[in-house]
Amino acid sequence: MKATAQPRVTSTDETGEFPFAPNDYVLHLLAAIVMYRDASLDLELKPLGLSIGRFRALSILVRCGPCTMTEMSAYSATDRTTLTRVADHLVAEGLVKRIGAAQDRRRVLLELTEAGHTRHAEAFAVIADCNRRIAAGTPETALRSTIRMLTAIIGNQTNSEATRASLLRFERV
Amino acid sequence: MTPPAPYKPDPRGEFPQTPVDFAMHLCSSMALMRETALDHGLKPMGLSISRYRVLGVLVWFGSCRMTDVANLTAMDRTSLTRIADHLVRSGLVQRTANAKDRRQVYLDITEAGREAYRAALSVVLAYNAKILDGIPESIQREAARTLKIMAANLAPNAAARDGIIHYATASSGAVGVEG
Repeated sequence: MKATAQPRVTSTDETGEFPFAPNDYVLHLLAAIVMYRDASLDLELKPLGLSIGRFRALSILVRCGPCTMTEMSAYSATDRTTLTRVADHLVAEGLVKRIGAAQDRRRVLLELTEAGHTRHAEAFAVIADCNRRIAAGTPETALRSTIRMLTAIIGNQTNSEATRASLLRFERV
Repeated sequence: MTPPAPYKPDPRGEFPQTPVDFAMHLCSSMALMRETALDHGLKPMGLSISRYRVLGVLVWFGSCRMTDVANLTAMDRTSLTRIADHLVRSGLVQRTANAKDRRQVYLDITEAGREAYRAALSVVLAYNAKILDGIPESIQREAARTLKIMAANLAPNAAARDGIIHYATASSGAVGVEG
């Protein structure tokens, strides 16, 4: 690489332990971990006809039961256009079906089919195996502390109690 | 707390599933929410978080090969090529050939690219500060040490591992901020 003048350093760790300030470094590492994990899982899930995006959609329906597209979009932080494409694929595969809500037939919900439950369980085995490889060598106390930090971050990211309940407690409010 | 099948419960009952699976679920959810929010915040500047990341590498490291940019951002080559094409079309980045090897293409930031990066950096750093608000630095440091282990477990090779963990390449020191 050619040498060029360096601009002002805007995020530094005064202790020198990390290349940036701890807050920016944590987010840098998280972004990289998720990009590498998603790329790896897209390949590993392909034999099951899934991608990580499709798996996430199935997971929301497992955790929360039937959901509207608006709820799915909020819980997965996925835009409606992408989510519609994912949902259409899952419906075409017979893993998800569209149903009318009991109280309002015009309100369309997505619901997992039996085949969807089975496919999700098969995919989760792949995911869990990948998760174990990623977390190998991390002490459990440190992992629990990291989870508490991630919980606090997500709490800061959304004001929606429904989104927090879905992501943090696997609950529907 | 009993999670729905096939999730396995946390033996200590603190979380809705095992710590390993729950940690990865939260990493993924948090990162998606951050990307969505930053894509929205950077849109008025004609940028996305991915384009911002590439500009950041070029600001801090100068001219880079695509391989170096991939190693420093964890991006796959297909996405990176698409992003680089967009940045070149927007006049924020230019492609230059290596004087010694004309087949070797480098990416270089333009003055317009530097300006765009500076404007975007303030948006990204403000968002970072907001979502980590209230989390003690000691907790962030402990988490960073844990996340370093995970990143090392995932990196496809030593250059990628060094790129992500030290934000450095074989020919550079660690510098700057990716955010």
